[in-house]
Amino acid sequence: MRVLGIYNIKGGVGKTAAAVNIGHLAAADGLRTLIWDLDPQGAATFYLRVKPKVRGSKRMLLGKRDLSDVLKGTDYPHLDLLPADFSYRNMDLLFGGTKKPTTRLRRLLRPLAAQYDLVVLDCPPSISLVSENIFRAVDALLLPTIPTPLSLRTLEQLLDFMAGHDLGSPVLTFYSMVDRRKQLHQDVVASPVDARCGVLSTTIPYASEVERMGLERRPVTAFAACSMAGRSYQALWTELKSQVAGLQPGAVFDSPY
Amino acid sequence: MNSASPSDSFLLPDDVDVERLIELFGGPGCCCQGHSADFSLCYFDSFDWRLNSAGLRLLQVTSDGSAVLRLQSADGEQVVEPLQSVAEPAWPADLPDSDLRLRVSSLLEMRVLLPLARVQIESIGLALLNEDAKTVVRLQLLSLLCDSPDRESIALGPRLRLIPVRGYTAESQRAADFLANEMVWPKVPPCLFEEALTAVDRAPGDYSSKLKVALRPKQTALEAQREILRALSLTIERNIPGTRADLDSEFLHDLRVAIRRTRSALTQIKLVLPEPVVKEYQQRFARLGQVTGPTRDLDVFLLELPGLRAALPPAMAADLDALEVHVRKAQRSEQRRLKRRLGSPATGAMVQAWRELLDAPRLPGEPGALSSLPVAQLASQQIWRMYKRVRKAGRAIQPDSPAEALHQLRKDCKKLRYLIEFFRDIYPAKPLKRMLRPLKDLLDCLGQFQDRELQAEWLEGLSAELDRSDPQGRRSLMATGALVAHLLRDQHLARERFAERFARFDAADSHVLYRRLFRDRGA
Repeated sequence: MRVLGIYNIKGGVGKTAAAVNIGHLAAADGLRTLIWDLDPQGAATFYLRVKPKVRGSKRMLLGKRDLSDVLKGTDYPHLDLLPADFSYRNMDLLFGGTKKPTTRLRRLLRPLAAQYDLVVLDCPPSISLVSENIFRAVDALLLPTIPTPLSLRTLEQLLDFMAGHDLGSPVLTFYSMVDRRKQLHQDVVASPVDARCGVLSTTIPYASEVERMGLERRPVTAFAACSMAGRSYQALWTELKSQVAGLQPGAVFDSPY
Repeated sequence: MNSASPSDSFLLPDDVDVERLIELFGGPGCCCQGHSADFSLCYFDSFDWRLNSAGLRLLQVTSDGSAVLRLQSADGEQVVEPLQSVAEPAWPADLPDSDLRLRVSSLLEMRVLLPLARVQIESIGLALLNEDAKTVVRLQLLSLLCDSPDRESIALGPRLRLIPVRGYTAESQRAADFLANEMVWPKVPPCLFEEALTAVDRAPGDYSSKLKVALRPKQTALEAQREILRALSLTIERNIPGTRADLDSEFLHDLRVAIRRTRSALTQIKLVLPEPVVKEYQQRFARLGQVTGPTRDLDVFLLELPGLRAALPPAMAADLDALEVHVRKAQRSEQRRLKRRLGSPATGAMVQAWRELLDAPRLPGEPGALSSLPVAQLASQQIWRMYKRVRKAGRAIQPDSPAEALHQLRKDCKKLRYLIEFFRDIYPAKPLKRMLRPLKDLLDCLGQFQDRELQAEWLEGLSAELDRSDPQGRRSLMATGALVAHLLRDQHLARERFAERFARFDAADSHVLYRRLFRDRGA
């Protein structure tokens, strides 16, 4: 099982859209995939038409309730969701009161290893105890970055934090919400990025299809696979497979027998 | 109320199509069509159903260029992780390294996997939706066509399969209850195995190398002997195509055993069949048996070669490569000869004539003097007679007895075993099993004694043909010499074991059983 965290300190950078589309493409490739919507806003849960409610969420986060009991299948074969719950806003406090508070999430995910090939964490925007838990749980961290100087500065802040806390997970970034009409975006995309971070060559355009996910309540890759945005997510997933080990297409396909 | 589970499959009436299903589930807002897919499915097992005997099903499902091998229990549950494998499985050892290979090869040993039934499946996906238009139950409408080698494809009934969505089991249960209780559609098993086999006129376990004859104690000896011979003739006929095609070594093995048993049934069940029939077919089957000998000897050697290699010093094991190449070549050549002989019009006519004779209402010639005896009486007399013969001959064996005496004893032991197995049905099973164990162990010991001797002799003869002019040839020669020494040592060990094995066969409690079962009933 591989764990991929879609993360950024900033909000509104396209994390949830990336998590949902990547999760959808991974499942379509035959990987048994789980998206965990860690953001109490529950946007990924909404996109996948699931109710943002986890019964006994506190007990679950404390490891007293099996994660398997609260998983939901989605509209897509091989793609499951661990829904968001409003109580996740207190996750920091909850983890803070436990032993080994920074590895709580990693330990919670461990029993799912036999059921899933890939877990995609849709992370809330912040840099907190939950974030540190995420850094310690993932095999790779994927950062959608809007091509602006401020976003690059945030990226550096994160990399400094990770270096300071001895967090060695590989960090990959890709440019998100890229507006080709803006010279600034073009310049930032062309400029070099902090060497501590891998940069994927795929960019995700600022596109109305991505916004339409909220209306359609489906991944772009499901309702507009051939659109510019749909093709971009497909290219991102292809590139990700070449960069992160263990994401090769699964052996299992849906057959009636 | 019919009980239904959330992952049941239901047989559909012929007039139910996708539109009708959508309508039944509440219309387009509640049920929508998903994507369609075509699958091809094939079940595999060995000719003698080794996987089925272990309660397992091996199937390969192919779709759109991908293929997956699944090992399932009889009720369709996954037993090990599925294996991605596009090539049609044949030899278990050639499967990709996996738990599935381990499991299958340990059960199949030297047998090859053969396709049993192929089914073409068209699947149309459907989804039941909740108020958020979210899929809460998946359905598959399946149309199934079973390929038949000698006639048109056979349609299996169309069916609807429920696939619960995680976290929405209650919705699946409601759908299952609706189909079972309101539509009253019959449930079908989750596994297609038996249905697909029935469609191609097969049944699980329809072949076994074990002789199965349902005899009744009061049946006449003649009827019983004909039934035994008929069952054996069927085994012979069923194994000839696989032997000719050299699918695996066990077709020939089973063919040879059936021929030997036929000869034994002809000669050891005395004074029942008309004498001319016995004489004619005893000779014919003896000739057929001889034809099959050389290939089987080479097969046995090749099957045992990995074990023999392991018995040599590691540095020498690789020097047997040249010998193996030589034996494989010889096996291919003998196999070709065997294929010709078994496929000849003369063999075909003989097998057919034999079956026709056994099926005919009356046999040509006068039946033997004991033909009307109840089979239980005749069988008991003849088994008791053969038992006494084996006991006498075995007791006479001394450490310095010639090898020929042990070979003769082996033949008699086989006759005794076959006689007991022919008439197994008319005796109580438990004591028979207790008696057969020491007899089989004794036979194994005598078999090892004789086989090792023959193999050593054969290898000595073969060593003359190995090229001594180059270093490789000389190394092969030395390795062959070491192998001969190992075989003779093995033979010696078998001889040492003989006394103990025979003593178990000849034990007082065993004798009591023989006397009670056979002498007393034969009187």
